[in-house]
Amino acid sequence: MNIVVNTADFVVDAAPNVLSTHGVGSCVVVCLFCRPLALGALGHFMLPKAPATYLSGFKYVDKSLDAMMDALLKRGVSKRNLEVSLIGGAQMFKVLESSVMNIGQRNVEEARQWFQRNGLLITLQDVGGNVGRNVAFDLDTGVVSIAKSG
Amino acid sequence: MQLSAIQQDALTEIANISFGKAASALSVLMEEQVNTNVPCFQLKTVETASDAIGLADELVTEIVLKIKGDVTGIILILMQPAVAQELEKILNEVGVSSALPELGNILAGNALTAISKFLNLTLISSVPDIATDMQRALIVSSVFQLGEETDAVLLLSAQMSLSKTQLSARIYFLFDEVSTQKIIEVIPKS
Repeated sequence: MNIVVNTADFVVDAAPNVLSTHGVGSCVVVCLFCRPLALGALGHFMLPKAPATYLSGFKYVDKSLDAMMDALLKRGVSKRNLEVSLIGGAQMFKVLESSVMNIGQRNVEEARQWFQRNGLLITLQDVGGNVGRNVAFDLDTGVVSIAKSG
Repeated sequence: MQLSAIQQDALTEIANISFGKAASALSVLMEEQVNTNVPCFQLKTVETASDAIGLADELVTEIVLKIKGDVTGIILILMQPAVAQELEKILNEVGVSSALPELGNILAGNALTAISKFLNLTLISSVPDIATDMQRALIVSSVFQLGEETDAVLLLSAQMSLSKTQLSARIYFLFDEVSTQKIIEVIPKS
């Protein structure tokens, strides 16, 4: 079954399901896969760092990855078994997003730092550029497929 | 955010006059009648605003402008890429060279002038930016121009279509939380 993950959300599921998300621009998508259990999670996050006032929801990379990892650990996943994919972080507009570090880049940087803090290595990475992406994550094989608009 | 019936009427009125003004300017530019469906407003969160605007991975051409002045926000003009090409062709023929940016300027400028008058506030549009890509990718990236800590947005929307050629575009005005408050404060309460 194909399960669609919305923006600012994540889903934990197991084989034979496929997790997918569409229209990823400056957002980042993180796929975490535990091969021994054929179990994984896909998250689609919008912004890098949650302000102190942000209490619930999965809009920000840092807090959402904490929650996503907790959910996986509860399902019996071991951190050292995780395969990590990082996708997205594009710059969709030239004039509007012309600041030195645009949101896409900052999202990617935030996710990288989070993986480093948690001792995880990125196994697959497709980030940056200026195109939108669709992502499908097959929990049977662990294969992450990326379709780009351009 | 709770709105009284009168505040809701006032927001509908803002949508009506701004899109009405934009449509008549478009009509002059295109030398064609422009039909506008009933403009409406919605209060949304940043996460749900992009879903309210449409399908995630459909390809669209988006013209985006920032709103600056007493209130801040963004204007999105969305159309199918084929429609964008067709509009460009028509406008080039009548001597408008950078057609899509000009279209953005005209629609935004006229609508904002109408809102400015109605609210007695100053609203100015930035230079337009244009991209063609997956709808959600473009919209989410645009919405962040409202500020990263904005949660609630006021969304005004309308669809315009040209009567002869049937070319159509959707237009959205999004205001950040602080600006939404400001707008609600200045509109009549009773």
